[in-house]
Amino acid sequence: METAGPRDKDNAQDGAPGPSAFQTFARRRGAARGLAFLLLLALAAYFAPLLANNEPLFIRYEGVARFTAFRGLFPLNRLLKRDAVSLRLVEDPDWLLNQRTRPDPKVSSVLLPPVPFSPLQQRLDDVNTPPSWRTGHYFGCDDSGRDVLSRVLHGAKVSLLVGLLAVGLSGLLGVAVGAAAGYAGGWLDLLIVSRLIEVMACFPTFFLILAAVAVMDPKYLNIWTITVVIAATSWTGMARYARAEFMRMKGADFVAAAKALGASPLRLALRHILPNAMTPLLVNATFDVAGAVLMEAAISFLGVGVQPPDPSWGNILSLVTRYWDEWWLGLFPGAAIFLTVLSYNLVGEGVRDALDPRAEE
Amino acid sequence: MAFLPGLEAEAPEDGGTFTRALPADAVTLNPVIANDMVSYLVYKWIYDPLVDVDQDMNPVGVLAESWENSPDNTTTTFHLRKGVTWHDGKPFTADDVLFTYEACMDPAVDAINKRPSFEAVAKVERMNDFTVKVTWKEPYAPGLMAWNLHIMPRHVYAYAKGRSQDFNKGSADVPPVGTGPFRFAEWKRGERIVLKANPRYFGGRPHLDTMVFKIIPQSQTQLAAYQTGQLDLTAISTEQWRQLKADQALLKGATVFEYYGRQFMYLAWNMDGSNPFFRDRRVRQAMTYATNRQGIVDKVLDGHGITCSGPFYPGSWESNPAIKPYPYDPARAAALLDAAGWKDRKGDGVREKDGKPLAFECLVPAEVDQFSRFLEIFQQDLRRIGVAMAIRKVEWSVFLDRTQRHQFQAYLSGWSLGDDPDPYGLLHSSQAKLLPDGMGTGQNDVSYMSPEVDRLIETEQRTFDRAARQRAFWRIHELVAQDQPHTYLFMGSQIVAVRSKFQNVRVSRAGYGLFTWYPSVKEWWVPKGLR
Repeated sequence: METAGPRDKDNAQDGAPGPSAFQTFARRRGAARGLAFLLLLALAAYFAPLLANNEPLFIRYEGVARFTAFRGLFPLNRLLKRDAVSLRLVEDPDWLLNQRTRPDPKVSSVLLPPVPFSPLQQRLDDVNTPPSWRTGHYFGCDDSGRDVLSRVLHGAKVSLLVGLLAVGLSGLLGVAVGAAAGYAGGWLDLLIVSRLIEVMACFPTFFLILAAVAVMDPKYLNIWTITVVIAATSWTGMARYARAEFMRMKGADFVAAAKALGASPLRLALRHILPNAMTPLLVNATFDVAGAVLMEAAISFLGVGVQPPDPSWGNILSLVTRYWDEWWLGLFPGAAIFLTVLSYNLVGEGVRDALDPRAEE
Repeated sequence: MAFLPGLEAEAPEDGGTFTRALPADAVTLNPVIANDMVSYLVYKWIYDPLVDVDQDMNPVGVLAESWENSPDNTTTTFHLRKGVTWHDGKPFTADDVLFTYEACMDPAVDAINKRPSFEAVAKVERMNDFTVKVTWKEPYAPGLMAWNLHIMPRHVYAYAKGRSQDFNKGSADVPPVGTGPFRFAEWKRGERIVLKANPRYFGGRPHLDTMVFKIIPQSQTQLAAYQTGQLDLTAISTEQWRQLKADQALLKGATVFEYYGRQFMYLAWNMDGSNPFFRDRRVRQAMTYATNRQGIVDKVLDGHGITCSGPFYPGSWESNPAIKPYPYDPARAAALLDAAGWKDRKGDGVREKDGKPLAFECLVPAEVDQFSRFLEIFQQDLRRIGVAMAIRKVEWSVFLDRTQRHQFQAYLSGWSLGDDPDPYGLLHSSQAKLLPDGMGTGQNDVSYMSPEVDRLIETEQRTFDRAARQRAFWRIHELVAQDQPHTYLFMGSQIVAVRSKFQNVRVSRAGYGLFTWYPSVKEWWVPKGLR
């Protein structure tokens, strides 16, 4: 027998059923649009190998039908070896692009992705070309002749993964520390955990990250380590929220009731307090994602994050510092960062309004 | 680069100011202890060396009126110019030459980068007030250029034995006193250095009245300062050049000079046997054929560069005109790797031999953006012939440490050519030895061992006849082109814009630019009406 917490909708005190959380969220146009943009972006990031690639979606090569580009989708890319078409493209990345001018008799039909360039493919003839419909480089090319649209699409994966994983990780860490402090209280909280949180929070996160990245061997600078570094330096906000919620709720009636029924402290924390403390944590997490996306872009912009040739919005953007009149190197990745951060913030506001009864208009 | 013929025919007029930028403040104006380029750009005009190079890299006497070698080439006698006075009016004599040399050799003086060039010197003697005799340990042709040493006055800088600290910091409090075409006038730290014409210069006063060096670290700021009229000269990067070409008005009234600086980039392949790849000459040749060097010059540098075929300045007397850079030829590269036994047997796009993949790591200093960028292009080039090259960016200090210890498989870096074309440090096998502590003794960090090249270098160093020396260099060039101990990439252009009002501005044909030769700025002048 469980005791329901106050978040239980059936226990709503004023009797009249208000709008559901989802309805509140959906009614905010900004939040809905932000969410739609993020979902679209997530799809684009996942399907980037099908959207922007020099490998064909479909090809009939030496009489065999192949779907080469699909092999680049996760998890197939981890399982399958490169096929013959893919290997040919390593030798000659422009092989299929030249089909029209120099047809290969072994290829009977071919369907290329809408952006027929891979994010790493350098075409010296296209160095620094501006956006143009004619060349097929809709977002132009960078200083090594790589297609910017392809790089922005593939870079979305980095931004989304780093944003979500970093916040997931910092959330876990922050909630664990905050919950322990809030639930246990006493000297453990006052003398150790709260001080630790305060000390950590005093460091300017950005410089802490730069310092951490600077001492790291560049060999290990990839999105996973950057995620860990961002998470390890930004968990204090979560910890404070969790601590406050746990302190507030550990004396509540439903907790006392559960305790009376013999629930262990761990069960009390996880099963009874945590679900009821989720609201502020969730709202905070959504805003944190926006912060993490921005942080990744910033450190990659400074050249210590994701290392070229791997694309990330930050490292594409950084090129504009060298080529100040090549606006496409700044506009497109910049717009992508702006829209993503804005969307997360809108979604965050939506979640807050929908879930937090204190924030109702 | 064209001058109006009418103006050039006019007689030079005295007067006018030339203002240029420096990327950093000078460290010191004491030429013996200075070891940075910026300081050199300033002190070069305050002090004179015994010999310098001219526009074409030929030795030219400055404070030495002439010199001759003994028949066995073991001594060189310098005849000093008479009647030269220091900026304070005292006469210049052989004592000053000896003083400067002795200061260089005093272990307590911070002249670490000057001392190695005098290693071949046994002794320096004062024969009389205007004659100095140098005795060499053995005949050494590159030795003459060690005397591109800027001479300091004994009566100003002399220090008591064991009081070298007085000399090390001397010039900080004592205004520099030299014999050069310009006199020191003002140094506002971090802001500017001002030099004034020396009216008593032995070769006649320079035409310009004043030279101002403004410290402007950012190249973009430098360009902007030029455009607003605060500077008379600006360096232009290839990227900036692309943008300027689009807007010709920005370059109105400027004469643009373009030359290949004396630095080339190269890829080094470690042949000490620590990896299974690069001992095989065919593999190294394949690397060169597979890297699209001309493509980078044409497309990334917009044609502002030249591909190299060896460690010599293209077009100079020591460079063999018959040796052409390898063309970009992936098919030939693939054939060479096939012949060397590296084949893709697994079908994963990477060649193997004896079960080992043709995959290696290339070090690159992280500080130079451009290096990694070019390396990324080569990475793709090599992938096309089934070679997996991983790029490893490391900090400069780590880079130096690992290359000096020969702990690398490949690296990309730059090389500056010296005043003498002798490639001893880069190519002689003695320079590949490791000391007991693991540090390399020289710059031959790829462990290139060619008995014939060794012999040719030893011959060339003892040969004073230019034609004979040239034969040795040409043969070295040929052997290096075959052996490809390095893949010589290219030299980038230096682009410099100077206001057109300055007359008689000339650029070195050997890559020394507008300033680092003699007499250079001393000959510039401005017509009165344009000042």
